[in-house]
Amino acid sequence: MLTGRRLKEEKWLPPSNEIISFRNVDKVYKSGHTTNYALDSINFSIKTGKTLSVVGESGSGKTTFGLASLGLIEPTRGKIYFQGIDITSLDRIQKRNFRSKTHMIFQDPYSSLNPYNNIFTTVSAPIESFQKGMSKEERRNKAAEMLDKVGLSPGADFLDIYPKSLSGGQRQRVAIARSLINKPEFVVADEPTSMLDVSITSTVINLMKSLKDELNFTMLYISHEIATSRYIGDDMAVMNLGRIVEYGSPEEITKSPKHPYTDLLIRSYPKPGQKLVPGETRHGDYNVYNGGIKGCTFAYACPFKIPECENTKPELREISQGHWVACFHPIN
Amino acid sequence: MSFPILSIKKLNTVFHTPSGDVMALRNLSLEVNKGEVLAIVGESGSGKSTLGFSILRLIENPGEIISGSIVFHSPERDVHILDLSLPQLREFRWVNISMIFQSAMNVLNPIARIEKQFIDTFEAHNIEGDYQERINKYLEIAGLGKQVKKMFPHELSGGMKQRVNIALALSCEPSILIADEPTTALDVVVQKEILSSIMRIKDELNLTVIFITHDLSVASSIADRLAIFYAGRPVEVGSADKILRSPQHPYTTLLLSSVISLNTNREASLKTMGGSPPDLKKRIPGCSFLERCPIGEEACSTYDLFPAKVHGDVFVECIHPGKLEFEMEVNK
Ligand SMILES: Nc1ncnc2c1ncn2[C@@H]1O[C@H](COP(=O)(O)OP(=O)(O)OP(=O)(O)O)[C@@H](O)[C@H]1O
Ligand SMILES: Nc1ncnc2c1ncn2[C@@H]1O[C@H](COP(=O)(O)OP(=O)(O)OP(=O)(O)O)[C@@H](O)[C@H]1O
Ligand SMILES: [Mg+2]
Ligand SMILES: [Mg+2]
Repeated sequence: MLTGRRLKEEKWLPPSNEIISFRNVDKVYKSGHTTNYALDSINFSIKTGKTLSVVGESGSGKTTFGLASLGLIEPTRGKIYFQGIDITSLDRIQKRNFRSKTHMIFQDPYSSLNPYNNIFTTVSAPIESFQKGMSKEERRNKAAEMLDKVGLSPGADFLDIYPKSLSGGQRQRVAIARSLINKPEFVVADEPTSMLDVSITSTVINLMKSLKDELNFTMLYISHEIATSRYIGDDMAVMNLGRIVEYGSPEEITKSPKHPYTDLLIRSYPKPGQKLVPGETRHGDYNVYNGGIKGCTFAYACPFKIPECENTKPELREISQGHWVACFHPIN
Repeated sequence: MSFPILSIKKLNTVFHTPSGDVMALRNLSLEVNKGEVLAIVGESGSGKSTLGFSILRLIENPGEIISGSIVFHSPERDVHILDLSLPQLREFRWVNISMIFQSAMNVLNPIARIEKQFIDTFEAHNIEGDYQERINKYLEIAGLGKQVKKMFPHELSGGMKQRVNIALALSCEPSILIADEPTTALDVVVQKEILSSIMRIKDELNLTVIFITHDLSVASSIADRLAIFYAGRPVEVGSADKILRSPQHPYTTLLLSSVISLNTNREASLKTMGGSPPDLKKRIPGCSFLERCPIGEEACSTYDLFPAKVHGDVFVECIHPGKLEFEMEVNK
């Protein structure tokens, strides 16, 4: 698909400890006169067996990143590799194979479960489509076992009921059970707790963390909620207007952010028991920007902007062991 | 000295449903002081929105306020809100008390320019004077430019729409603003901007704010006082500082301990509350939190809820306030 001018990238082979690798990926949405870069030259990898948290403002491209990594949307440019295989050009069998190894958990547990299907049908759907030939008995046992795992026990008692009699937290557990029943290697969770109360959020997060350790899959955890992202992530990536601007350990990024945008995100986070000091806000309105910007995506509001920031794109570079930042003047 | 601007006494609001009456507010009494920010905090279903709607008498079928009184103390006279006739109510609402609704981002009329939505509001409440001047003034107060007047809702971001809602709610110059989860759908950066605006506006206009949220961190970042709601009643009410430093009700304590912050220990599992709130269709004898309370005892099930225990200026509805030990990973 790519022409000769990108020959170098075609030969590029992802290292084996990376389950997903993005190479120069753009996702552009056009509507009328506006061109919106939901993903802007993403070069990035997700490490096998780890949880990567992606944080960023609304509209920064987090969901697009997640959908693209599952092959659910096609990039406008670039390649995405899953275990070394380019998912942007799979044949039907490869596609099926890829789908069976991946799963997505959505934000809204109220609309993501079909109200007309009982819990058994919902939870067993992935084995239904990917492991044909399993008897109903076996599928019921498997579904019940999975429901037990997500804390809906005894699982067998939940099989024949419908979503309407479940609370939000229980529904999200059902969604998690469905996503894991086929033992996927890669799971994307897009804001899985944003519709839930604090007490339920903690339960769901604990559950995902322990299941991840037990079943050993790779997870992409998408959220604008920085504290939970820090808690659940092994690694953290910060997105701003279609780009990843900082990447590293969640602890380090939240303790000493290097990108001024990350710093803004973290300073905006309400701290329990700490009164807000009004007044300190960002200048400029990011809504007029659509990505695809020549320089730094945060230049419009950055307090430390230098002329270079407007004209040259800062690439991600490693400024200390494992800590990457795309900024010409990272914070101290 | 603080003076009450709103006194609610023994309010009972129910929803008549086919399977029984839901007691959404159970004999609730609460005072709101002039010029304060009072945050109403509690889990989903605890009755927060129902309180807001009851104050403005916006409870619709199948809901009904069955008893109680709500008195608005204006400098001239006391207004008994539940006794107003419909025409009196129309004159009273918005001009004295206004509300920003939960999921308000979708309440703007999609096919009317912002300007039109202001004018409609003014006309509905018999506001006189220069409309344009008034619109400009409140847009500016909410942090928006004049150009927004000519725009349609779909041309605005979520944060901008929420600012329009704030401007609309303030434009009839009420004494009390009820804000129901005004930032829940927004990301942290925009959330902080909106919270800062509310704080600033409050001082400029000498406003009293009733701020409804399920997020204790958000509440503690702006509130002078907190009212912690559980199963249709405030179980702890008082100075935000005091409650956050030493919560007295076991529910408050557990709620505070389950806040996920940037200092949460990543190695330990998150604290969870367990259980779920009681069924509001059934009569709840004694303490409504008993079933989930780690220190509940026999006496709690017969505890007469009124009057609540007093602890300094913090009101607690518990027979052993402060007994559940409180430990939180506070911000260092
Ligand atoms: N199907 C689509 N058509 C047009 N534009 C789109 C589409 N999907 C996403 N976009 C745009 O791409 C950008 C990134 O969107 P995306 O949903 O990935 O953001 P996000 O970080 O997930 O935001 P949020 O926190 O609000 O979920 C936004 O500007 C959005 O408007
Ligand atoms: N129209 C209605 N019909 C029946 N029950 C209702 C209705 N509206 C609210 N309720 C019930 O009243 C109780 C209080 O609901 P309310 O919306 O006030 O809660 P809330 O604290 O605002 O919750 P949330 O945080 O989810 O907005 C709940 O048990 C709810 O199910
Ligand atoms: Mg999204
Ligand atoms: Mg509500």
